[in-house]
Amino acid sequence: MKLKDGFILSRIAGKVVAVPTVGDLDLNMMISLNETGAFLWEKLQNDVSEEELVCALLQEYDVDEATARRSVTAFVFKLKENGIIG
Amino acid sequence: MIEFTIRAAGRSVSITAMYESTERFCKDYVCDAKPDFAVRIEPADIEFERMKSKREDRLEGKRERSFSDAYLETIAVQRKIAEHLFDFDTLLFHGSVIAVDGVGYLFTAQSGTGKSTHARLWRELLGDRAVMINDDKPFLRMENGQVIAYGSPWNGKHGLGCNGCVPLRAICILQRGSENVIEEIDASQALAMLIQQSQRPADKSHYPQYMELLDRLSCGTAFYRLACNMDPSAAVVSYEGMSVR
Repeated sequence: MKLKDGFILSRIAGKVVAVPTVGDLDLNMMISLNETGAFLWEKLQNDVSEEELVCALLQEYDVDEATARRSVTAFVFKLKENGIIG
Repeated sequence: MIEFTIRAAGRSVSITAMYESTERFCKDYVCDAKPDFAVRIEPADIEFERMKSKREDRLEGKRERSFSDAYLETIAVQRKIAEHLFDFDTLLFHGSVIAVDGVGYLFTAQSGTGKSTHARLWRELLGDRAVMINDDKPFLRMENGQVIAYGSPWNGKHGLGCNGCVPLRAICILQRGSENVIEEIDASQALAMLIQQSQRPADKSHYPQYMELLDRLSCGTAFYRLACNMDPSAAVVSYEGMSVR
């Protein structure tokens, strides 16, 4: 899976946010990301599997596998729910 | 076609338009300086504005409004100028800017919340000390860690504003309330509103600049949230809340 095109990630007022750059349907949409979210977002710029995301989290952060898996599942679910990954 | 030059946020813009009414609309901003950049309106730009307005009305569940080509041209000019001004550290913002003793305050809210009404209450409270800079679409220029608010020809349905500028002390997000309460908020709490109320790039390649300008805006001014009614005391609460720091 991979993020759909048309989002820009940026740091504003100390927060990491993703904003859509195309279309005006979601003109007012802004996705606020925490540190883990921003990390996963960067990974999802390329085509990756959930398994690969879990591995990446485990490499980058000091977390156990169950926690990493839960984070990834929850994050991916939210992105799918909002139509941000295809 | 008609051609004229105006001053916008400290820059000179050459405008080539189809309707003379557009030059009249901009009359307070006409200058004869050498242009920093040029915009030109084509029939397709007017059509774009017509379609965009209809689309937005539909999205908001409103009846589709229809506008004259001459009016739509003024909006097209606004959009094109704002697109160029990203290069000059400037955003077009939706709100009312009022200057008091040379210090600027910007009220922003969804249309119909009562920005203009609240700005009027300030003028009634403060009399000659208060000067309207713009009542709808001021330019905000980020300059050495400061935010400077500039008037623009797009000054709302009552035409309130002037061709002047003022350093901005605060952005105040207005909400209706039964009581008048103001609180200072963190810039990050105002972020969704800043994105909503600023003109976003039409050209995707301008997004990095746009986001950087929002960040500079968030650092360059204070932010408040005001719940207010239409009573004159609302102005007392918000003025005292923001002017005494």
